[in-house]
Amino acid sequence: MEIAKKILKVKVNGRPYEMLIKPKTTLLQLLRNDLGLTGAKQACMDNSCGACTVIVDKMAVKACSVLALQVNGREVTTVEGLASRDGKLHPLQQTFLDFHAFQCGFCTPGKLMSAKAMLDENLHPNEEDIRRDMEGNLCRCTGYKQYIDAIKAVAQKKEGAK
Amino acid sequence: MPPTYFSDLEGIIEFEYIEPKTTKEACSLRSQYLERAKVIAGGTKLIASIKQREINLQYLINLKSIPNLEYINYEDEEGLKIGALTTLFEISQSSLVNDKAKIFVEAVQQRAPGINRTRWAYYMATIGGHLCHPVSSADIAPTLIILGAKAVVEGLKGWKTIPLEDFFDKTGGPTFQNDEVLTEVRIPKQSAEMGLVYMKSSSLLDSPALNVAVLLQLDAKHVNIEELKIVIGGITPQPLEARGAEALMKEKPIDNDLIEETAHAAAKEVGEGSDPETQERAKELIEEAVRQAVDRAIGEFALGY
Repeated sequence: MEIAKKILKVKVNGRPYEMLIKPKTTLLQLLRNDLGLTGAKQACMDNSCGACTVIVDKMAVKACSVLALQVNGREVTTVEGLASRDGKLHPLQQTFLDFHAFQCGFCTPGKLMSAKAMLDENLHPNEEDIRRDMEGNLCRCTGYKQYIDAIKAVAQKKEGAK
Repeated sequence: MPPTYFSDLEGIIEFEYIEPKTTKEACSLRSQYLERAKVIAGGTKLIASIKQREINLQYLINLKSIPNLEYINYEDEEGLKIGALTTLFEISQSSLVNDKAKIFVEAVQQRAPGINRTRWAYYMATIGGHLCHPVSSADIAPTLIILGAKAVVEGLKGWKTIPLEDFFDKTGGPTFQNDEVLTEVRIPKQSAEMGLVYMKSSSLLDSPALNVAVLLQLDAKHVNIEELKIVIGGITPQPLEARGAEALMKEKPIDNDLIEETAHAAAKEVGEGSDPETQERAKELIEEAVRQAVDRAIGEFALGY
């Protein structure tokens, strides 16, 4: 049986795309293989590790377990779209650097995107909120403390700026 | 090909992706393709099942293309109405649901450990998808059952409502037919005087995570128990109501020994065929939940039973 490809219209990091894809293409495949955005990492592929986390509209989702067609008409932000166009790092990225909040760095893009979604939605997260919301992002180097501290610092800075 | 980690959907056969525009169209597609078609809402369970080669499909019907199935409304007469494609995130954030059915939000927020607690599943998972999947339904269905919720199911011949307690078959899946689709969940208006409790235990080694929802209402004098519902999820695929045990307490005054006896009877009733350890865990959970429900029903007159 010849399976018809489907038209996908999606905005990725502010740039609109329209393409024909196979229905079984996952969002992660689309980003990495078709668009060349390799920030979202391919790891467990069974939605437990969070290395592939990207933001769809305002939601942090695991790109390995979402079909690309499920984001038809939506806006996707990957870690590549986090810094401003002039290269200035997002406050989360800068604070991750300042706090040495990564070791090998493989899980970092996913963590940054989960943290961004959380901070955009909940401006006053306490440590418990952060721990709960970051539960889906695993780090095999076990560098958990630093990035929780980093996210706390960004949240506090945001609160102070209000 | 055996299920593998690190696997994408590349290894599976191609499937056709269909986006119906109406529920009628979705129903007719389901009746046309039967077992060869699967329905996707949020896809949090389905994509994982496809990857694990637990299901094969030739057609994937995306319900999200049907407009107007994501809503939360409230009317005094009919109570809360939640569209089947409303996400668990929207439900837990909704001031209406928090106000009218707080206990349901508590259950949503204590979803199964593992993937269900990640932000990803929280945002994508829908109430309809959750109720139509045997594992996840055990988490949220018990609270809906004690609240007297009904499922609105649309089919080719029209629509009908099914009380949530009759919604699940023995496999934990929905009882409706192949030409039907769940479109709405209705939660009737609740009396303010009820004690509602939802409690959940985490899974232990091979024993499943258990959860229990209890509704307890006292009579006007705050002496006798007028209404009691105890629904347990996690022991069997479908949520079970301990009707026999409920009858032990009804029309009787609150009594410490009676609470213990009822919890024991309820655990035995729903845990029939399961191992003694699970039954013991269920008993402890039910007992604690009933005690809390008594406290909540008495409210400021709580005597600490």
